[in-house]
Amino acid sequence: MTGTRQAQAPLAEFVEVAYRYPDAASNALEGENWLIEPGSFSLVVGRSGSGKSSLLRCLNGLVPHFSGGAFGGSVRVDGINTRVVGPRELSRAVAFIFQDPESQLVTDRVDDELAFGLEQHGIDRVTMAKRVEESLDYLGIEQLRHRRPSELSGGERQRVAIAAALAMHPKLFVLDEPTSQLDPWGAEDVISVLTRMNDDLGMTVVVAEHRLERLLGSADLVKAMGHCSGESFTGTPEEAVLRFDPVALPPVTRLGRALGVLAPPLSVKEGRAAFRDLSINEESGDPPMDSAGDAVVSMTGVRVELGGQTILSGMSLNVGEGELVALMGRNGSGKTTLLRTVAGLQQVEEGGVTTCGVDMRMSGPADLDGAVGYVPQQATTLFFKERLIDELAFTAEARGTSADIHDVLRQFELEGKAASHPLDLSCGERERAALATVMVGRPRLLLLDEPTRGMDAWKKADLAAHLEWLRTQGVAIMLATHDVELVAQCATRVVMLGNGRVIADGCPRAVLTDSLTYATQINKVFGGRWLTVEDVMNRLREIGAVS
Amino acid sequence: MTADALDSRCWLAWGLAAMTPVLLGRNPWVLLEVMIIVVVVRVVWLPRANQRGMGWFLRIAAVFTIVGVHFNVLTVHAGDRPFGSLPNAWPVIGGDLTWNALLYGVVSGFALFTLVLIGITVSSQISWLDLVYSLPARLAPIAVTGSVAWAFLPQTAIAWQQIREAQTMRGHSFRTVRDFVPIVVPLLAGGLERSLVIAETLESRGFGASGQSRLRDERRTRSLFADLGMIIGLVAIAAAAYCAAVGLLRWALVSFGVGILGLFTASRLAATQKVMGARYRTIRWSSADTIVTVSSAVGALFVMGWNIVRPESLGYRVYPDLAAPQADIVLMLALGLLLVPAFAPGGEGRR
Repeated sequence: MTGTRQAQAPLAEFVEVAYRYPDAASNALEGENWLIEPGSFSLVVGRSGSGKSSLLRCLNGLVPHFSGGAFGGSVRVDGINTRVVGPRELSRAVAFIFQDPESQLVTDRVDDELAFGLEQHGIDRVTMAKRVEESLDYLGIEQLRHRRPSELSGGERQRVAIAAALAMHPKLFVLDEPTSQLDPWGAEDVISVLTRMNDDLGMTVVVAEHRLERLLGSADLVKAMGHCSGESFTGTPEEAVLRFDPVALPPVTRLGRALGVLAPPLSVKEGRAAFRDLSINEESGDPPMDSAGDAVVSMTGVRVELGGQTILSGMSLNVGEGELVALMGRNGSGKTTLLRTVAGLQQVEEGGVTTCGVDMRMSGPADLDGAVGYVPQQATTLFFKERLIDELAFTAEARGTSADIHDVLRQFELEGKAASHPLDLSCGERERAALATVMVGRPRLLLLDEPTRGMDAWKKADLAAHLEWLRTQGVAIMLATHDVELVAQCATRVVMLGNGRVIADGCPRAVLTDSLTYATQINKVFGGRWLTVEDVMNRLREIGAVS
Repeated sequence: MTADALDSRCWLAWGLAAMTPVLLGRNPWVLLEVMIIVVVVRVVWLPRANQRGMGWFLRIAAVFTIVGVHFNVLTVHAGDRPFGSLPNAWPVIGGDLTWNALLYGVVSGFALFTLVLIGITVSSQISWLDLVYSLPARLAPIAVTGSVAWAFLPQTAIAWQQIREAQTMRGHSFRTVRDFVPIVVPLLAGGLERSLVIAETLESRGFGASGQSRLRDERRTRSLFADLGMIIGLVAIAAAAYCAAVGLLRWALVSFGVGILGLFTASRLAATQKVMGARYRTIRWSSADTIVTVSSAVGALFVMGWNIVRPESLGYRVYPDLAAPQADIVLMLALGLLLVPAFAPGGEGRR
């Protein structure tokens, strides 16, 4: 059973593992040694492209059985050599959850999904029925059992995927960025399930995740893949946070490091204890909002329907030049529809929309004449040329701009990738390439739909800096995101959507503070108007508590 | 799939029966009756939202119909009712334009449209997994693969729309066929990525695991022949469907026979005897399923028999002389059997 612990022997063991993908110029993994103890909770961290996914795929044999390539060293899971036994047979011992909730469910009913793996392994009907029921109950998704997976939210789908894996009674649970595509509530659901499985059932869990603030407090062990601290290492979370690049750390931990705390806090709860004596409670008033330039977007009483359902209702919103407006709200609250409406991609049933001076009730995207740049959630949909430089040249020509393409590539740190095929770029590079491809057209308004999904902390910091630079150039930016910390860092204004309406609109300090769901870590610790590490440090400098 | 739905096999039988008269002839009265029956069944059984979701299928069918009508008028110059002409020197399209050709194009387009409507009505009611469960266990892997591929279609349609919008926002305009190349490239790339993710998922979830673990070296050759049999069987079945659609009934029968033989051989040779041997869900067959299936089968057999006895009842000839189509009351009454699903009660607790 899942909770059984093997007293001494590790559940999984990597010995000098090296791996290179077919046709790759360099190794994805190099000399990896790692022991995974039964019942442990391991967190795998590192930059995009550092080999986290490859490492995880070694655990269920996808590497090398599925991906091919050159494999050296050995990986043993529950005594099985993964080089000899492939993912199909290993699926009884190792459950693997992928980051995309949409692609990993293969049947058209939730309870069938839970039974799928059991049927594949020829488990008898009575045992199968028992395990399906237990898994439904454990995950609290009994009410979903007759639903189609396509009707579920991202968080629900991930819970169904976890339940399906749990029904197999695996010894090891491996999850590759399971929350990267989810809103904060979906992510919380998934994380609470994982910690409960680890605590209650003694299930061994291995998770790769970029957002350390979500899992660092729950992990027993952290495996850092290169570049996180300049080198790969494995250690406790307490050891890891002292070696990490501060950019990758959760805000409370970063603050602890900045203040020289010997054991920086790993979670909000620990943060409250660690900073209990820090007196920064003299609050200043809300800073005035940056004055916006001329209106670029003007919406009045807009109603939009999709498939007979009202998605936006009575929506009124103005966005001015040089503003960076973050659109927040749960999945389905209308963020993407709002961006599409502004871009002229969505028909308006009622009300008026003016984008860059064009009345969008009468016009389409082509009438905007390049004034709007739109980067959708799937940035790869923008690319169709053989080389990145050709993509930029196409936009420049279509928009009739005289932008220096090489200069734009340099701005986005892509000058070395000019001749690369856009679809060969890494995840972070693709996002930057998408931005470059759009920005070379010199739009007045930039629409970004969840650009940080799956992006590591360093890339996110780069993106924030770049957006800030664009804003200072007078570009208006509308950013749909769930990333509270990013919004606190770079937005000038936050528009909270709920049920297709604006439910809050103001500066980040006004909207994100005292929020049950959208508060930053720092705000959860200190309350008041404090949002970021920089806020606290500046205040401490003001009162002379730190130099 | 709701708990009170008819069995998927029953819907499949109804769909085949409804397609039979459409495939066998072009009599406008028959086509009209079948179309009305399908619309009634569709309205009774399908939620409104689901009907909207299939709109793009119908749009594609409408486009094919319009193209078909134009093609027929421009390339078939026979008939006694000309309404214009193009210079004879023009290759292929030169000659008389006739009402006969126009009418035949319209009727053919109508038949195509009806077939598509039957197809989407059936596909929205059946559960692939139920069909998988209905198949011999040895054929289950192919059926699961088919169900995954089927689920791929709507995702591809969504991706098409997303890519088109993204390209439009970059300043790309879609005027000629060549302008659609920028859609095809990311569509293929995205489709390939999704395929790999699904393949990884299936591998990771043990798809075909029990068969794999039982596969021994000495049985590999046998297994290879089984795979070959399956491929031949499926290709032959697809060829039979094509031949039936274009009216080559003799070849359709031959292909169908080869297909069944191939699949039967594959099922005997397959080494994966235990694949999906144990099944989670029990599918129960109700009296309503029996009534619908029997009425569909009787209707289809009657139509096929009537086509032999009185072929003019289903057929409609517009060349060389245009004449009004016949309405065969007996045939029309028999087709009424296809309406039975509209009156079938919901069999609660059948699953």
